[in-house]
Amino acid sequence: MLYFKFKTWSVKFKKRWIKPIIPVGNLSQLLGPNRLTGIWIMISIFLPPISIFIIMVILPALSPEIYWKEKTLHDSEKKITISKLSDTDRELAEKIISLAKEQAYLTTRLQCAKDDSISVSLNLADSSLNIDIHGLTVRECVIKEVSLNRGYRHLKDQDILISWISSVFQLEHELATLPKAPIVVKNAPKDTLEARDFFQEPGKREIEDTYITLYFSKGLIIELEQVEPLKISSYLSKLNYTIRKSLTRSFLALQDLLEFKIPEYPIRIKLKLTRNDIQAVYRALPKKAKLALFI
Amino acid sequence: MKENENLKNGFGIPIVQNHLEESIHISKVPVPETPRNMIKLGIMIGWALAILLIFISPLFQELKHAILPTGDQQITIKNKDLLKEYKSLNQAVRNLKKKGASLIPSGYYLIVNTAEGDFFLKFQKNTIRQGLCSTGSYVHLKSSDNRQWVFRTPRGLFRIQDKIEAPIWRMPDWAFLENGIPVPPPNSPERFEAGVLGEYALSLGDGYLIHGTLYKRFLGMPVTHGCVRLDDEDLRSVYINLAVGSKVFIY
Repeated sequence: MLYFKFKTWSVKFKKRWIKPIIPVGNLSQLLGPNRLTGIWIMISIFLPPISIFIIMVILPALSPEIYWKEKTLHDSEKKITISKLSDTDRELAEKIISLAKEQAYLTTRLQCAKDDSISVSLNLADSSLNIDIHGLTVRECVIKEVSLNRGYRHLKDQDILISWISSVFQLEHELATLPKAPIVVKNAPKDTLEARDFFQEPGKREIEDTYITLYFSKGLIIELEQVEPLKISSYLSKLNYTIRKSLTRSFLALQDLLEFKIPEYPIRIKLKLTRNDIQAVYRALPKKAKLALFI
Repeated sequence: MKENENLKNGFGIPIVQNHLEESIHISKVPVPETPRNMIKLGIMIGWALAILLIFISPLFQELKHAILPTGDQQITIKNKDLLKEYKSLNQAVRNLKKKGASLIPSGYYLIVNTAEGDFFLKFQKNTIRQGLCSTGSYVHLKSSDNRQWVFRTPRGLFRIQDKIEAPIWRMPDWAFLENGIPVPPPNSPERFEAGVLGEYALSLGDGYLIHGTLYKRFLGMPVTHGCVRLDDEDLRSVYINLAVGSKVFIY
């Protein structure tokens, strides 16, 4: 009896309130002629974005250290938390961290020096980006401004960071607003008359606006930006570079996804240098350039 | 059973239909295509949202790190005594610095910067001489018989292979092709020219030389066929100080 009363009341309620607002009656009917179809449509709309959100946002952000090896403790070793130490011990522990990082950096530089080709060493403590050949610094570029992405600040375990910088980073991919080599294609002249036009008075070296992004192994991305203001004529090439950069970022994540890997959360270091320094670094870097990092 | 002569299967055999089936067929209400289309539309919307999310996911990741507080730093130490740990690490760093310093050449060496067209003659850490130089022009020359050359200065570590006084240039094929002149046989006297390379030449191997130039106004510019051209005085200083085996760093 009560059930029938309720049913009559609910029908009246639907007629009085719901129908004028939602013409079909309920949400699932709004999407399809029956409840089952409605549910299928809802699933088909929400399942792909929710699963992508979990795989690409939640999982990499929950474990940003996923591609860093965790250190296994030996019996003689112990893990200390810096904030729990006394003032003098804390100062000493901070020096230990700095020295351990320097040790890792110098070891990596020596690994880079084994080759006769050009390598790069980035020392954020000294604000310098060096071009090295066989262990000799042939050019030292002064970094005017540094910024790191937020994930780095959340890295509590310094052992993970030290083991990350203890081996060489290898260049995998690069993006830039200028060509790697300013190659000019010329056809050989057929006779001496044509040869007159072949030789042109060389102009001064062109100063181009320079923005480059270097993608290294182990999830390291280094962006180099010029300190000089952008010329109006370069706005389009800068826009093109920015679009390519964001597309690369997404396609790299998509590539990981297609290989059934959780996309990496990269450590992104943005550096501001002079245009000449960036051009020298970019043009000097070989294809699989090696990098040593002191962070 | 009734034979419907109008209906035939693919092999031309008449299809036999049941009366009952016929009646059912007639009474069937056609299934609307709307639900299927709507599911298809739903899938399309879903994937469009997913693709959009792939592109904006890095922003979400950054947002997560912006919201969460930073934690306490931790480190593993080998010695129970922090001071001991500090001292042993300090010693290890000093040793590594020594190893690194040993990689600086003990004698004279040359650094060539192709990006800005300058050079530095150095002895250990001190600069002895610096000046302008010309390096590879980056011209990609194509001949009519499909031969090609790219005129770039190689980069990396090189050693002086040979030192030559009053060098004579043996002109390669491209030197004739560039001038629109027919290429002479390999040992033809037309190929040999004296005086164009300056007073001295230092060989880096693979035909690359450090030499002088007649075109001094082009010093500092990318104009050569891969060699490094120096001014007369600079070349003399480099020739005197660099020995066979000395290191040349080009970047």
